[in-house]
Amino acid sequence: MTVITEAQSTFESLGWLANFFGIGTPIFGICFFLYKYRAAIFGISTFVKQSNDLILPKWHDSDSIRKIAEIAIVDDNPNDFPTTELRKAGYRVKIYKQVNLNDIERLAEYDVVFLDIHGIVKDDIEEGGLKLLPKLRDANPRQKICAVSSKAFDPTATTFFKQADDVQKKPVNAQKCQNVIDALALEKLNPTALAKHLDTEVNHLSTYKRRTLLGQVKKFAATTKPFSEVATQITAAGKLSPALNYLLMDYTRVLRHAT
Amino acid sequence: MQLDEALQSGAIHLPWPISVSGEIFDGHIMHLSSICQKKCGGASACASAFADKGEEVCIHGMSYFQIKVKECAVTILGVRGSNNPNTSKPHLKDALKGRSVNSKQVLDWACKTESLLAAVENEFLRRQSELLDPLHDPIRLGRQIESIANRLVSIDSSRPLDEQIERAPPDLKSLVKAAGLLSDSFDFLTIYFNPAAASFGRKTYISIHGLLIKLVSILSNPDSSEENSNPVRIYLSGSCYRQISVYESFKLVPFALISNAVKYSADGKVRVNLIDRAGVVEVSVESVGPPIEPEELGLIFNKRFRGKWAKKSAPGSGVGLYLAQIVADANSFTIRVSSNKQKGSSKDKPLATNRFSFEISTAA
Repeated sequence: MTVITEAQSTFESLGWLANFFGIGTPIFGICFFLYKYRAAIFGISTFVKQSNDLILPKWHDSDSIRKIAEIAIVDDNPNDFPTTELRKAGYRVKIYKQVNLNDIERLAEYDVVFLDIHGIVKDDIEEGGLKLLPKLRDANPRQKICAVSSKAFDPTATTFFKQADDVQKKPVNAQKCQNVIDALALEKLNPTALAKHLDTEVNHLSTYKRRTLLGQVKKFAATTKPFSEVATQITAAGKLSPALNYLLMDYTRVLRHAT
Repeated sequence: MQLDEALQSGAIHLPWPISVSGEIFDGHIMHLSSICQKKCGGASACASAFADKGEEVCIHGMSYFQIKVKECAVTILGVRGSNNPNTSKPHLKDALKGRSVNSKQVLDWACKTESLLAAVENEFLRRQSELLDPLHDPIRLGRQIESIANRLVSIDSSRPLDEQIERAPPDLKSLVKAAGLLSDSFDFLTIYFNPAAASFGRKTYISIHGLLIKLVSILSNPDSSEENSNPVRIYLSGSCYRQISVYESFKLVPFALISNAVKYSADGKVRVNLIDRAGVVEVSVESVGPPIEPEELGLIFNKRFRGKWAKKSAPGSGVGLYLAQIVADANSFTIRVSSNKQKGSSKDKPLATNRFSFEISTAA
């Protein structure tokens, strides 16, 4: 009581300006402290910040891409690709001489797919690639597809080539193939672009939910759980749309690689 | 197949009279109205300006419909639409009698006609695809030969390929050049059969200077040529150290212009000049050869067109410049051409300094 009375009499004895600074300065100081260290106190609220803090210091474009990117070559003549050189250089390459139209879900998980038009789909030898490409696009719009065929002269195949992200002639030499993979995979897995995209996608969520989401993503990336479990493990954003699911899968892969 | 060609064949069912590209086609069921014949004759006022407006009434009181069928402007003329206010006017009553047409019927006809034309087009493409299918393996093998030839010549990975080709033994050098020419010829063939191929893939940055050095090396013919028996030397001047963003097909433009100049060169010299200006690179190919008449300047890029003096000078098919134009369009630039007749050359075999040039932006 004495302390309160003493404080009261002290403030009463001072002028209004002194009172203003006496009370305002500590309040301003506390607010400034909370603002400056808000990320440490309340947790990070944007993917860009998380990416800048956790991913970018350990990210090296070409090296990181080789370690993360999953590449599929779907061609009945895999000798047209420098598979040995690619594997030697550290790329993760899988070859499919033929696929079924039912294999789309599995193929849609690759980051970069080299796709031929002819002879690759068991159910449709003639134009399998032509039908497979739009199905892959629907299944995973983020996937990068490079059309590889010597049939560019065929006007009925124009749609196939136009729908692809890139077009290469066969045989593809090692340097060219690496350049294509690096460019396409980097477009898909660039951490800053992924983080910006995710921030836009979850912008409608409350700050609390965004922080929870970022926490869940960080926690998931620290585990060894398969990325197919993203949809069940990361729940703060509600039920994930297929596009957001693939986006989160890519981001958690990049984050796991960095941490 | 164009709509007017299909209509001329009479195979397309035409319930009403229509006007397509200024030509009137009489209906199979409803014939051209007496009012249209009397007032407009062969040049229908309603079809003169196409605005895709649907149903309208012309200045003579008859209804007409405008619709696009496969990008072709079609006017259905001299009919009685549901919104025609003149049905009770005595002088039009008889002319409009029995000529009722509504928008649904018009749309239905347009839809069916489009489907028929699309089916014909698809069948044509399917047959073309079937006929071209045997090309698949030769193109692949051609590229394989090029790839193997380049591998044979690339002994030292620290040196650029162009330098290694220049230093290679004559037979190996010839093999690399021939393989490169074969591969480029297949690229030409690809765009000839499918012009859309000129813009396949994505644009990449290339060194135009490096490309011209390579082309000059491949196309230089100091000894002899199959198409031009005189030895031809190509002089490259100027330099550009900046890169340009283009489709892979781009190389075919300088290839076509230089090989054309080599083919028609009368004095055995072709000058390729490279000028690097602020934001723009200009490439010009100059040679002395058969003149291009002023009226031919706009036509030489047409498929299978050949100038009258060019025909007399060397055999050819008239597709090189046509393909160069397709690739230039895909890469958003224009090829300019000038031909200045040389004084003193013979009247039977006149000569001119022909210059082909194009400018391409170095901006991203």
